[in-house]
Amino acid sequence: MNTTVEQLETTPSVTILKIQGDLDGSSYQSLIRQAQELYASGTRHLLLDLSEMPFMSSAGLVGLHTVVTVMHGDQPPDMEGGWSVIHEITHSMDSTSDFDPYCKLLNPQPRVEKTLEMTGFTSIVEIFTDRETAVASF
Amino acid sequence: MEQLHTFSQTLSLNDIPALRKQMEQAMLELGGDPDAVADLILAVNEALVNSMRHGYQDQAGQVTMELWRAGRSLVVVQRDAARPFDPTTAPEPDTKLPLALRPFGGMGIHMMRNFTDEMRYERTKDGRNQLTFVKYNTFP
Repeated sequence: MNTTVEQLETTPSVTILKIQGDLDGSSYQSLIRQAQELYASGTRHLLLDLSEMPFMSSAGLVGLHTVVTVMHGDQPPDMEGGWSVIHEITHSMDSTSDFDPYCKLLNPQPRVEKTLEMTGFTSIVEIFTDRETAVASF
Repeated sequence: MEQLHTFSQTLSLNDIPALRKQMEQAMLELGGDPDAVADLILAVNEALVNSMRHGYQDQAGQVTMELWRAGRSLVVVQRDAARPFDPTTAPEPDTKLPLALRPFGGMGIHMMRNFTDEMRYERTKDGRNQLTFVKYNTFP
C-alpha cells in the first residue's frame, strides 16, 4: 500500500489522503501511523480517497476505525502491542452525531463499499462520490 | 464434487496476501464469476488470518486450501493443524452501534459469514481444523 497526501487551502483546511493498494493486515498500521503524523502536523479534517484501494479486510476496517479516532485527537493505540491491543481499546468519541465530522470517505470501489455497508460503517462515516462536494461538506 | 485446485504450504501472516491473490487468480481462471470470487476471497482472507493468529498463535504453520466445484457452487475447504478454533461459534457483532461504543475489530468472522452462503467447521479425526465455505452461483 502507498499513500499520497494533498493539503487543500480551504476553510476549514482539508487534507486528502489517497490510499493506493490493498488495506489489510500487512498495511493497516502504516495507515494509522500516517494519520497520526497528519494529526500531529495540524490536520483536523481528513478525506480518505479510496478510489485506488481494491481490497480491504477486517484489519483494514480496524485501520479506518482507528484513523477516525485519531482525527478526534484521541490517543492512538500502542502499536507495539500489536493487534490484540487495537482489538480491545475503546475511545471517547462523541456518539450523538450521525456522521463523523472530521473524517470522510471518497469513492470506495464497489467491493470495498460492500464491506463498509455490511459492517455498519456507512452509517457512521459519510461516503462521497464527488470530491468537491466531499471537501465542501466539512 | 469435482476437485479443481489445491494450495498447500507452510504459511505465515506475511504470506497471506500472496496466497489470497493466487487463489483469486485460480478461481477466475476456472471461470468463477468475478463478484462471487471477490466475496469468497474476502472470507478466505479472514479465515487464513484467524488460522494464523488464533490457531497457530502468530507462528508459521501448515495450511491446505482446496477448491471444489459442486454444481454451480465453488467450495473452499481450508485445513490446518493448529489448535482447535471454531469461528462458527463466534457471536455476531452489533453493526448498529455508534462508533464510540464499538470495539475495534471483531468484524472478520462477520465478513466470513456474510460473504459466503455456507460456512461449516469440523475438527477432523486426524486432529485438524477444517473450515468449509460454499459460494452459490459462482459458475454459470
